[in-house]
Amino acid sequence: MLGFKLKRGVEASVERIFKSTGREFDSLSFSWTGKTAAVSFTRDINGVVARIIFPNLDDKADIPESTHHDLVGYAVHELGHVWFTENEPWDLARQYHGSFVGALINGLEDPRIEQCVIDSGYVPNARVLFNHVVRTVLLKEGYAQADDFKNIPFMLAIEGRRLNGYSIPFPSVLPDSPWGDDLEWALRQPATSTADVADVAIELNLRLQQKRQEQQEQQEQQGGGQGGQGGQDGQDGQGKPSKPSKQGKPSKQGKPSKQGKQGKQEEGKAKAVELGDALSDQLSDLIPQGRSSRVPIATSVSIATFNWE
Amino acid sequence: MKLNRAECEKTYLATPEIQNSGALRSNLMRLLRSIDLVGWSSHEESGRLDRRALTRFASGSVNIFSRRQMIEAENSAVTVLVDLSSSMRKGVVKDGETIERIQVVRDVTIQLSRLLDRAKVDFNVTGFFQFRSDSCTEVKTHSGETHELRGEDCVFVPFKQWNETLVRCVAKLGAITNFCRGATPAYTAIERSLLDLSKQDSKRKILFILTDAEAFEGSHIKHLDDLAERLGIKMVAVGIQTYDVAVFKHHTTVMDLQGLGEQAFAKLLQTLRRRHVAS
Repeated sequence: MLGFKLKRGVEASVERIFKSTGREFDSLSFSWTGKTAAVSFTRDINGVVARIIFPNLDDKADIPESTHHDLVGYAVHELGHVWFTENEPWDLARQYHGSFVGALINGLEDPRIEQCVIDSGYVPNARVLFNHVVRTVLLKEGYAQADDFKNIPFMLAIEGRRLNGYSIPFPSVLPDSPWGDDLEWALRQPATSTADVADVAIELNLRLQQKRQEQQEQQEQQGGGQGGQGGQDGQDGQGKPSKPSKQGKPSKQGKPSKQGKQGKQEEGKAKAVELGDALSDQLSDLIPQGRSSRVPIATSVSIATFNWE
Repeated sequence: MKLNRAECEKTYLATPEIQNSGALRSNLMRLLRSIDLVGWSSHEESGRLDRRALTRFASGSVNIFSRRQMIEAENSAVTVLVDLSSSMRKGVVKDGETIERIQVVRDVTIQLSRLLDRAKVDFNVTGFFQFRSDSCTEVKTHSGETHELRGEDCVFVPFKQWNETLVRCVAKLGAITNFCRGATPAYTAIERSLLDLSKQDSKRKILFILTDAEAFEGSHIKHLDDLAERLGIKMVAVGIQTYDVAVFKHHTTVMDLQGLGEQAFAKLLQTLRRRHVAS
């Protein structure tokens, strides 16, 4: 299917699906210029004003059918945010607790709203679409490194979907993760709104930061032991802590090799929480080459009228 | 803004013929006219007896009949896209009177409309402008990423729509100069016009752009040119006192406003001929 036809089809589908739920957009615009799929919206008494962003896609490219399914899946996912996400608690949490909490909320909120879409029956084949998107992404990208701190939001997004009942083509990485218990705890919390999710994310962030601090202290201790107190901390030098108190997975936390690897990965690029990033990569060869990053978009197209005397 | 219908109609009717364009117009007319061609086929085994085949009949041939044959005409669809940005108010002073670009464009558009109508070509005339200059929007996604987008708020003015008769659009075409304002959302206007034109059933499709815009982004126009080619549309840009239209594949620049009509018609004819030979 030609790119521009696919775009029009996806846009029409979004409007039609939203309308079928008895609601209408006060204003809806699409931008096929992003790196990932995303939605920015406001809900007020007059209706919903939304802008949905999709990955850049060449109008003339021949797009495979599977990508079409993925795009519809993303579109329904973004509609899920419009239906079931509240912006205010999310924005406040990010404002007061930092962008990492924002990413944690995203990781927890995505599976929640997808389950809400499935339960609502707004889109009868929502489960199939969401499942297809997650499988496509994971099969292409692989799963995240379980011991990389920056991958936590992505792990939450995937493991949350596993709890939704999707067939994830990889086994759970939570047992191998140093923060597995905390993530498991967060995913099991009964959250019925974005505000609940934000509360869970804030608490999870505190737990993770605390654990991280303990790890760092432990690392410093190990460093110090290696430097001058070899006799006293001889065991630490071999990478085994003498008494790893308050550690969920002491054996893994204590291994210097693991810690070293983690430190290296934190300097590199984290696996993004947005599944749309993978789609963007998938479509990157279809993006018109040489186009400026500031691509013009039609923010609004209107028709002038003739006012005759 | 209220428009005076009578005055606009008067303006339309008062539009003079473009000078020295008789031959150009008749050539254009011949190329654009959609007439079904009727001919006769020969060497048929049934039909009307072909008297020229009697010699073959004497030698025992049986396929000596001929039949009426109809070749369907190649229909054309043309979109005339007129830049209505405020810079079109600029012009030249001649005999103490200022002739604005938009006035000349209006005259050329009206002449072109008359010609296309006479040739029974499906066409529409659309103007475009933007109330304010490009807005640079930063869109923040849930994941905290920001995207920088250049927003174009494009306003289309449908002077003549598809399937609307020219008679009904006389006043609207006469009012072209009244809509001149704002900036030039060229990318959006051209892209939407291409997509609109692609929906027409006609075999030949031409997008004719009259603009004085400057500083086109070359890669964007190339993208639009490629899109037009893919959609089977010939896109012709006529630059009015600007050389920047050179980024279009098919373009011409008119520096002397008086020559706009002649050059515009000549470019259209040239494009059509190329198309005609190719098809």
